[in-house]
Amino acid sequence: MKKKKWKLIRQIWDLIRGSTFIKLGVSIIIIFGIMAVFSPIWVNRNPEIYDPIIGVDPDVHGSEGPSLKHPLGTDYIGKDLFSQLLRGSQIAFILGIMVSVLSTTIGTIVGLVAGYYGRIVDIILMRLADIILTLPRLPLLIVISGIFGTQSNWIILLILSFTFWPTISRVIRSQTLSLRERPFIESAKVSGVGNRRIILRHLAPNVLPITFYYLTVTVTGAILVEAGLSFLGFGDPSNMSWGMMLKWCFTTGYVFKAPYWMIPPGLCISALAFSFYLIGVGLEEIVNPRLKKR
Amino acid sequence: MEMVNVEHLTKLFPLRKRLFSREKHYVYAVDDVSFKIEKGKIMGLVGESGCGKTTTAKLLVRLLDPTSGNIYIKNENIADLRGKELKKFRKNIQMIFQDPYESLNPRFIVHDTVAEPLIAQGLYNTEKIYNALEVVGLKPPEEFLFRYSHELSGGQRQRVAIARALVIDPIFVVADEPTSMLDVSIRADVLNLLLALRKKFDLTVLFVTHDLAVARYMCDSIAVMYLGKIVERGNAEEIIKNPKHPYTKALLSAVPIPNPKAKRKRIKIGERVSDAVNPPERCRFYERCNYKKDICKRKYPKLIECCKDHFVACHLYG
Amino acid sequence: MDTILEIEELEMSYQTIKGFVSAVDNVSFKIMKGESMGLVGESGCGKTSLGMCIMKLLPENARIMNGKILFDGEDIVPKTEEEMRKIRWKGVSMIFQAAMNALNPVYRVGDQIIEAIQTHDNISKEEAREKVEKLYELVGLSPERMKNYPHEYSGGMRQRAIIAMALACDPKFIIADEPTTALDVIVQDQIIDEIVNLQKKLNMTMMYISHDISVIAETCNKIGVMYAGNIVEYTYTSTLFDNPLHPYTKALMSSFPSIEGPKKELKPVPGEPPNLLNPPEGCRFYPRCSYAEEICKKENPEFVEIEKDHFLACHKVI
Repeated sequence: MKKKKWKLIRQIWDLIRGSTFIKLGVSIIIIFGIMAVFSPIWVNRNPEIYDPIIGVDPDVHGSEGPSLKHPLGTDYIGKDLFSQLLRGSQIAFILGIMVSVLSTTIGTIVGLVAGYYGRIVDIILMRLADIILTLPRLPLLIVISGIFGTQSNWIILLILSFTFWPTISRVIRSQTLSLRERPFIESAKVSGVGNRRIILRHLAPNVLPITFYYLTVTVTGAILVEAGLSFLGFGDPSNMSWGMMLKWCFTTGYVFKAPYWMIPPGLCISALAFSFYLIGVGLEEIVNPRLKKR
Repeated sequence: MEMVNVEHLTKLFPLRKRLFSREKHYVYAVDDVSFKIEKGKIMGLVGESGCGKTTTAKLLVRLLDPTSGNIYIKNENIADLRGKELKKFRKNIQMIFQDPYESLNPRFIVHDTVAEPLIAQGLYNTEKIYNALEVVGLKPPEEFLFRYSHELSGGQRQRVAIARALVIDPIFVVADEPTSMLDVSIRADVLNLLLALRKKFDLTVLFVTHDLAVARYMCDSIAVMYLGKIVERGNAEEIIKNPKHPYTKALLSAVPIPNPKAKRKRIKIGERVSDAVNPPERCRFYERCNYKKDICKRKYPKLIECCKDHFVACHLYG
Repeated sequence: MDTILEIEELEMSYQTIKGFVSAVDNVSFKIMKGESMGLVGESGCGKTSLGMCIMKLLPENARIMNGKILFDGEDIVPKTEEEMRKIRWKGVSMIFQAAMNALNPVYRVGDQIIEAIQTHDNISKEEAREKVEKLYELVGLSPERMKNYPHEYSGGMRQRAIIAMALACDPKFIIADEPTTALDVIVQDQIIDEIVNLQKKLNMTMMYISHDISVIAETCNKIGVMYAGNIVEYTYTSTLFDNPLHPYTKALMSSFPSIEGPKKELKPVPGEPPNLLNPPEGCRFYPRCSYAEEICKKENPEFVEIEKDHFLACHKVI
């Protein structure tokens, strides 16, 4: 059995090595990963000055440009922008990856169940997906965070996951529908293999490449939506994200005065979203043999 | 001893003809089919594509639920088994599929494929897997256990599929065109293997095929199907040498013979026009038949015994 | 008799990621005017590739490495696509394997054939239409059927339309590549009959490609047996069946069941066809050959005429 696992890992490694898109995407992500890990180290040197939420440099008044002490400068009350940017990459990572894991997991399970069982189960699950799919995401988030009063990253995470899964489940379902008719599934049924085992051992591995693809694409979506929400002022006020940095820059009137404040978070949002997108494209090339042939 | 006894087996598939039509249309895929297979014998189910032979095969292994009728295997009616009982009974019946490229999960290694029926029945046993692989001629088994199906040749794949079917010692095996996708030189090998295994394990087999020559080689008895009905059945040599039904005759006359000197007489019949959607009461073969009589238009002929162990459904006899 | 097609030491390879696959290797043979030659072999033996070489309808990754294809005395290998277009249809024409894919589903069948004629012959639409009507009658279709769409045709009718299309420009030479594979036994037989009759009636030269030696036995007066890119034996059908010399030919014949004569045990060919990415050294059949000797491992036997009109590539017999 060991031999098999190694083989799978090596296959995946070979595929990744062969794709320029994936290599590029992973490199960018690694840079952001280093930033996220570096965040506490930077802050802990002197939390009173460098903490992205409560730290203020008493020597600085108003926004100042980059200096040795503050590599990216400070905001309007003297908070360190570099530590905000680092914290932002943590948030983006955690939020993006958690939303995508949660929503692709739900989406894959729902898609498999709906596609495999068909009939009434399929109808109920897919109508539900359709309803969610047609709900406008941003207003929904605004309304729900209004209901809960305080905005917390957890609520944002749950709502994003809730609105992202239907797209995935639709794709997985259609894939399952065609897999279901394949003789190896019939062969498993004849052998008395139970439904749960058929889904887990036969169907799931065969839709996994698509799931992986959506995993990366959803990260992109989640990062962008979170940034948009924060910018509109519906982010988690007890934390700092890239979108929130942009928002403060905008509301305090520094947009045209402090490019050192506005450009880095904007660039980071685009770069991280782009890197996951690149991995998605690379994976799609692998998943879709027709694209691979070129 | 009768191992398999099928009585009045019927399968209708509903068809939605028009969007708002209230009329119910059905495809009579299998229509009132009855036959018996003795223990240790091979029965061939022969017919053109779309005649319902694969549907019959799937009904017998309960991949499809019959609309009506009984399927007795070892005197137990499995037509209405559900849930746990059905799952338990499944170890008695196995199926070998047509296309070995499709019937093996591409993400499974040989071990997983062969072990699956054992795991499903809670009988996992490594020795059985080794035995099954050896029995189908994949020797030594260690060399094949960890290969994926795409690392095997066509003949090897079908052997794995056979090993998988036999690993839990079924008493009845349904083989759905197991060699039609294989190359000529490998086909004979797999056919001989099936014959040897039948002898070794005293298996009862339903062998579905469109190839009469293969059916003659493999089977003790043959049933010919046409549009959901069995039109003729009996001893294999008898059917080949002395066919009664006009359809069987035409079918046999259309088989090419690997001998340039043999001049066979073609029986000319038309192409199939009617399908099995809501068929009228008349004989299904009516439009194409060269011997049609008035009665053929009014009544479907019953399957009657025209001579010993030779049944035919045609108004010309009886 | 005149030679219409002469192939000399033809070699064709497909370029793949893993290297060159030599699909046709050192093939030489002649076809006389009015003859019908059957090319028999297993899937992947290069028989379709050989047909495509003669049409010069090769996929992008295929290359003719060596050899000549003399059609009517002219070598077509160096000809450009422009020059080939004049030869195709009028000189060499082809009946394709998959009838469903060869017809465009959104145009009327008749119009498609008319268009094919007009692109090759400089005649008016009315003349073309009259010609198609005649062709339809020739292949046993009612000319009224011209205004139908492909999906309104049955499988057999579609194949007849394809034949009509292949005959549209009165070709001198026609290649039929498994024209009946997807069809049912009875329809298959009718189509084969039609092709044989047409070949005789129009005095065409034909090359019939099939995996089924019994179909070839009934349709062609000469047989070429192909194995792993080589033609291993080529002679008159009757000679081949009376006196097969190559071990592969013998094995092929005894691995086919028949509905005629006494029931014989099939003798399978051991092993599997070789991988053409790196074919075995020496004779390509030796790993499966029961007569193999030392020399067979080292040298590929030459294809020589061992008696009049009987060509063979085997060390053992020569």
